[in-house]
Amino acid sequence: MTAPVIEAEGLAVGRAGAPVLAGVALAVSPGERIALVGANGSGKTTLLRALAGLDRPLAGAVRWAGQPLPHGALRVQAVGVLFQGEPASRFTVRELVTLGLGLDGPPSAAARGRVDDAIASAALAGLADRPCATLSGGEAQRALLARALVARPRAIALDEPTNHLDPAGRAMVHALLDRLRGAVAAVIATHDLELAAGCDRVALLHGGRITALGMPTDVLTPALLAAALGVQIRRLDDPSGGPPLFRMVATAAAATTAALDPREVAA
Amino acid sequence: MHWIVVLSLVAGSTLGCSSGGVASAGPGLRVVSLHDVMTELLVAMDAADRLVGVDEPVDVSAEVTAALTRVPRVGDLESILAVRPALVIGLHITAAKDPELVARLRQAGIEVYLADPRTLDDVLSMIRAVGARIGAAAAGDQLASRLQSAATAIAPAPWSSGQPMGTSEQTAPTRVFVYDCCDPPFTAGGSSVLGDLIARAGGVNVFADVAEAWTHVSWEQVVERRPELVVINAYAFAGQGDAADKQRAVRAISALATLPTVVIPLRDSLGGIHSVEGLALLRAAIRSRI
Amino acid sequence: MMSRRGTAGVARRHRVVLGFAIACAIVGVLAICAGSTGWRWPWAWNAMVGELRAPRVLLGGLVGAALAVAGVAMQAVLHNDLADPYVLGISGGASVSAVGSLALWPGVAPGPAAAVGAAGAAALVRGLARGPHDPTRLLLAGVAVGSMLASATGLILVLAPDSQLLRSSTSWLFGGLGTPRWSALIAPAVAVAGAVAWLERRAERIDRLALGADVAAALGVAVPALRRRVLVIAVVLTALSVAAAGLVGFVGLIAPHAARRIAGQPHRAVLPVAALAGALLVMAADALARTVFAPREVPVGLVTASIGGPFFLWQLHRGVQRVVQ
Repeated sequence: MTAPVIEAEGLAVGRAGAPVLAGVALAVSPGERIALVGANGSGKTTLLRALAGLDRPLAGAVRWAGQPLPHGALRVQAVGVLFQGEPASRFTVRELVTLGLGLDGPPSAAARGRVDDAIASAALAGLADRPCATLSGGEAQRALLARALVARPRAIALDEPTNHLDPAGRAMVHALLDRLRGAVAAVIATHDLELAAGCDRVALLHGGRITALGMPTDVLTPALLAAALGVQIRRLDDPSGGPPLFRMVATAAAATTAALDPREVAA
Repeated sequence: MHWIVVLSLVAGSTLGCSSGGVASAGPGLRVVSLHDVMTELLVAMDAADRLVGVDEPVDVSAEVTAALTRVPRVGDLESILAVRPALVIGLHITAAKDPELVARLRQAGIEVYLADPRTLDDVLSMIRAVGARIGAAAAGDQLASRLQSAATAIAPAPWSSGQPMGTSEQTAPTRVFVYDCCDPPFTAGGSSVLGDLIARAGGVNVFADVAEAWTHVSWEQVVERRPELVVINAYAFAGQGDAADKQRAVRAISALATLPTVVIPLRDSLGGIHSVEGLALLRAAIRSRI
Repeated sequence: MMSRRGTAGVARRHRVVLGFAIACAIVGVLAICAGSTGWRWPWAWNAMVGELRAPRVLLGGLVGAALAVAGVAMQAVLHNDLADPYVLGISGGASVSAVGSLALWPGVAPGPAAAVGAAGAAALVRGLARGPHDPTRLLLAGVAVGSMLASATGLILVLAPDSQLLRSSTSWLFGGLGTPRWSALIAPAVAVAGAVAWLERRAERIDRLALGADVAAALGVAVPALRRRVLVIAVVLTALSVAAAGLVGFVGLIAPHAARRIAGQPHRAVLPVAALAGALLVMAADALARTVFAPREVPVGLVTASIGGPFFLWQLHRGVQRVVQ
């Protein structure tokens, strides 16, 4: 049994004195991908920030590979972060990704090699010397992902990685995350149910607690989603084994909690 | 009924005296002085009784301060109009500081007399003119003549090059630099009374070619003009340390550090009745150099 | 090929810094040649030049470097490229202390009082904007404190009976290098060298800081401590500048801006280039101040302001990149 990459026990998170979530117990195994799903205000981002070591929890503790989070350059090897809505900077892609190494001083040849590899992995090799502010939304997001991954962290925390991306951008992020499978653990706060469905485990956040934690097939059911998200969702499984489709039902009246119809196939 | 006639005649004549036009000179004349030079002048002519308002004196002798104990202080248009003067006197610099004030006073029918002396002779003419204007012509002439003879005694004639002063004297006038304050240094130019006093005392102001009365120059230029004597214009109201501070500032420039200095109090350099005292100090300093 | 691109970047940075250093030295020499009594070629330099011109020009260079580096530091902490070194009420604090000092002790140089006032105002602003670091609140507090102190300055000037105060205050308020001795260069030189060395060693951390507090923390930066120290350095450099030369404006904006345009974003290049650009700017401005209206001398701050205005108009014309991150 390998030590969890991130482990939270009895965690309570929130603003001073007002917990948004309490009683959180979560252990992220190496290479595992966990999605945090919940309505706005359910505490997804707050929990994610605590797991990334950005905010101190109100109660309980978080450990990274059994240790407190290291300072300085070692930190980026423990957990990388992809923030939501980070404004595009005027650094070039190469400069931005180099900063992700957390080093002081100009990068060594070895470091430069790792930066080039990260840029290539993010399919940004031709744009390496362009300022990030001149990139498209999808390209900028890939640059930020490359920065979060360049130090080869054991885990990465992503906050709404596919928000505001067009389908091509979203596909690119999905592909990048797939490549990480097994190598880098990922905790993803997301509204994107397809993305959640592709994870190893999903946690539903509602009413200040994690109401469900398990495999996507078990957690992403219309009943549980209705309770957690407050909307009626129809789920259409793909008989060929691909990820399920989720369709939001417009009005409560047309909601159904009836059994799934296995003959409805993704178009 | 005749009471009313008498009353209105009296009222009319009183009003007529202080309303617009040229007011009559004499002991009843209401005068406001907006500059120390004029204030001191009136006291020296025993005409302080005509003063109905003064600008707060900056640097005057104890005697003058005593004479002003019951004279109200004025400054802005409202306070000046409140004392109902017929004549307001000051120096040219008064208008430069506040031209609006002078214009409004004239609009209100008050006569404003501003003097702009540039030489000692101008100062003497100013004394006579003011004396005549306020109806103390005799006192004015007397004062001017007294000062003139004192000046002549100190320094017989204005120096002009080529005229030998005597075998024991130098043939070239002493080059003098006036230091008033600041960095860049503030100095007296060609149209200042102090510059004229320097010329009379046997010196030449190194900045006599500059048109203004007082102006900023640079230390470089001072050094380039190789002065031989430094005159420090000391402000008594700035305290005892003012002269020492200014001397230190001058001595900080190595090319000027070994030059003899003479301290002239501010009131001697303004172009008023103390000008002759300034002349005496300058003459003594220049002679002692030789 | 890829690592060669990396070394090419370092080589380019060195070339840019060297280029600026050479330009700075040339401008310095020319500035010493120029003066209110005429041009003197280096071989004609004499004791007067050595005493009156050289220390002043070099002090101007140090002041320019200090203000430029303070500007870079302030912009990193406040996440705003339009922040200049005086923005946290510093200009107001320095003015009121300098003018107060001139009013109370006319013969004493207002420099030290100005430095104390500058630091005091910054501390006051920091205290008013207490709580989690928020650039907007800091800037607002800075504007409030700065304007209150500026009006206090005006009040002293208006109420003072002494015209000498007005004269000496004006030259200070608009920036003037005066006639410094060589000894006056020691403190600024030590401060600038020390500050640049300290900041340069932490250049990458400051880059991360400039990305935002959260991002910097995620990338391993101890954000509150670094921010505090960088801010202190900015305030100290600015205080020393106002002590030496009064309020010299625009250098803290133009030099970092130009440095970023030429040397890119990373602070490892921006810091030395901005320092050299600032030094060059003030030395040139002072030379103009001493010669254009000779024998009268224009305050240095007015010259930098008259350069600053057109500079930013030109930048507007070229298209301003987003300045607030």
